[in-house]
Amino acid sequence: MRSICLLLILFAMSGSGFAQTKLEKEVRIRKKEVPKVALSFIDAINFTNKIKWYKETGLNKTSIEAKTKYRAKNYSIEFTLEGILEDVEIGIKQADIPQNTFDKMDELLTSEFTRYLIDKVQIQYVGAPEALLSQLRNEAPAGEVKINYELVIVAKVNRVFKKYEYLFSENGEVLRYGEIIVRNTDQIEY
Amino acid sequence: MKLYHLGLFLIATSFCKAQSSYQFGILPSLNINKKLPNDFKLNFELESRQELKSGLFNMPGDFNFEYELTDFSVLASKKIAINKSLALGFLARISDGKLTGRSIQQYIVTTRYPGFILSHRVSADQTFSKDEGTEYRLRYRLSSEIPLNGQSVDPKEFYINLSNEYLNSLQDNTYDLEIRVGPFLGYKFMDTKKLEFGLDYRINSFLKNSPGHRFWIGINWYHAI
Repeated sequence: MRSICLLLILFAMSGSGFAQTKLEKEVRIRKKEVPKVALSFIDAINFTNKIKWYKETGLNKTSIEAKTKYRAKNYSIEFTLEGILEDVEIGIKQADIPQNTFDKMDELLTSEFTRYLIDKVQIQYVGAPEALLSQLRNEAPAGEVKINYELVIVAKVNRVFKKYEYLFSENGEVLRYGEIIVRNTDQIEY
Repeated sequence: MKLYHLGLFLIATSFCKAQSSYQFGILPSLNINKKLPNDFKLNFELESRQELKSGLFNMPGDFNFEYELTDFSVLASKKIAINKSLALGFLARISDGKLTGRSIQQYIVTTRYPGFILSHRVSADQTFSKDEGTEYRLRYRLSSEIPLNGQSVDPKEFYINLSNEYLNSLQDNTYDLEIRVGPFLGYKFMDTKKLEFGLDYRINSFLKNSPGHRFWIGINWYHAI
């Protein structure tokens, strides 16, 4: 028992763990911590389910995010810390992406990876608040709304399974991509 | 879910039986994981049981510290998909000065959902000892990691680790079922260092005999290198 305690203390004190770069850290926040302008935008959409608010800290920026489920789809609305609307992301199926756009995405991904699997697809709307509001309410367009697609894929690279996030334009061109650092889940596996 | 309710029912009804035995103690463990190239991983675990009290539920008993056993296990695992892995390993148990060996085979599926992670583990093991016949076990464990803040567990955050396991064992033509429930509170110091504290409750022998209840206070340290 004494030796086990000593081992536990030694490991607790050591700092030899490898540092992992995380894409983002989400912390739940209360409604009263959310900027009023962001609250007003969400109220105007008239979501029926509960809105959960998060503060998301990424590598280069921190933002406020509202998450909810609406009409059987996951919605994520991102704001700056001041409450300025950044984008709206909605979970969709691969089949919801126009075929021509998906063919271009597939062409690129197939050239990068021998084989890949799609883990998650989101449609991203970017534009002025009034334009996005009309888009979300299925009303007549009140301004230009840019459409992007975010794909999370799983691929085997050099015999190792990896996760990547790709942001494609409406035409299937890559706007941004990066590897997702998968969190360690040893404590529920062993 | 039905299986879960059956488990709870069995636990609840077993307390009503006379002559139910219990064992209470501490079960600290040290779990070290080493990543290897090509999605291979090694898992070392050191676990030691110390009994603090035991007896029958309807009879008073005294606290009596007694060292019971120490397990040392090594598992080598290989990812066969982003969320699936196969593991093979061996466990050495030292109890009463005797050494027991156990070979282990595992299949693990871990799925991430918004707000929690679920892990299914199907495991088979064979325990060999000089004095008794080989014990064959087939186990299924469902574990979940539930963050107490946000949608995932980040460094310097607390989480809940809930697990429920069903162990079928066969030894010398005698079958037994053991059910384990483990609610643990965890703290993630960083992605590679986690500490958990909670109760590991186990019940067995309830199918044919008076049940045996075991309550272990678990303290688990997970370290990835």
